Amino acid sequence: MSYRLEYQWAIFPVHTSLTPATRYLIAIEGGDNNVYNNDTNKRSRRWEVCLLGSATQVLKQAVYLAGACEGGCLKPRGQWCTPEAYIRRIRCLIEKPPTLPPRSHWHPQIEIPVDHPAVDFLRPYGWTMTPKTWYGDTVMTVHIPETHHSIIFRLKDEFPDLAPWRLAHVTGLRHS
Amino acid sequence: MPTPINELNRLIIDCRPRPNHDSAYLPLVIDDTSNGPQASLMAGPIFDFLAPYRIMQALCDDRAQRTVDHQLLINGQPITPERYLKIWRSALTQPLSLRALGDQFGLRLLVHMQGAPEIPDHWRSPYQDAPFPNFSTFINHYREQIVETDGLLHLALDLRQPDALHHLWSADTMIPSKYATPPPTWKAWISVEPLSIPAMSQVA
Repeated sequence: MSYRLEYQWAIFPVHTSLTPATRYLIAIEGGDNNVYNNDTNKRSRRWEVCLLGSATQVLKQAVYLAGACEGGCLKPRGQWCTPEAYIRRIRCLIEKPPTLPPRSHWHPQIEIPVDHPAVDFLRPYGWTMTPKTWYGDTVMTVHIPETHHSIIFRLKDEFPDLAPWRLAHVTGLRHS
Repeated sequence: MPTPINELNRLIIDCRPRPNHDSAYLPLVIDDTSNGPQASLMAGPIFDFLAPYRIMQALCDDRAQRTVDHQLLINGQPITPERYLKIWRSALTQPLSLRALGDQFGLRLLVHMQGAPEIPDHWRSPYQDAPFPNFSTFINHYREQIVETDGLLHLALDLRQPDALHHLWSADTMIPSKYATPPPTWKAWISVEPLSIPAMSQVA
């Protein structure tokens, strides 16, 4: 059976003008157990934004992901773990955010299905939208000006079904 | 903001046809509603007995998430998702038999099977030691409990009946998957009901 491995976690607390509460963006370095990198001969892995939103939203998403731990479909650091332990790990990240490495940062990278209502939600802003084909599906790439980076949190509020990795990317985090 | 769910109790019902069978449970919740405490199936009315890991997964998909913003309370009190999952884990260590569900809580489980009277010949059991060789003989066995409405046969099988679980597991292997072509003409679902309300077939 294939399963997902998670190696490292990083949290970006974000203070926006949307609400007084801090928003969070949690990136996880992970990959499949049965996909290997030809060059390094190690299991393939990459950093992805997996949880995004207010503390409540992030914890709810963590509970959803934690459900995969019980059957062994998600193994943090390659070990079996209970959903309770996984949720606790994310809760600790929110309560005591560890220091991020210098030069690490996040940026919005919105790639949403062309027929998703979020596309119409973003259209009045007048930002450049470019359709792109990704593994056979057409997604709309939206170029967000720097002054409006926090729009991704607004999108998550309005459309909770949007996956965090379709809204933002991270760079500058060390690979394991 | 919707009214929070107030969970009063949770029950794990042992639905194994034999003691040496793999774990197969049905999780029930008893919530406080405007009509008083009400029992319902935690994972919905789907006819599916779950292994413990699937129960935990189903909790994470819905009810455990609701605890985060206090949309689900335990006896009126907020609870963390971690603690909530822990109390379910504790319930999983003490599964109730169908008999105990009736004796202690006055509840019973009914499996409903409904479909057209014309049953395809190829709906047969893949096992030689099955109690019924095909679906028609299963239906004939429970003929007296079957009600016909709108041209469809409806069997409401009380799982406390002798051998009902064993027969049901066998019948389930005979109905093709809902993804089969053509899709099966029968459907099955589960309900939890108070013992005081007779099953549809008993009324008839």
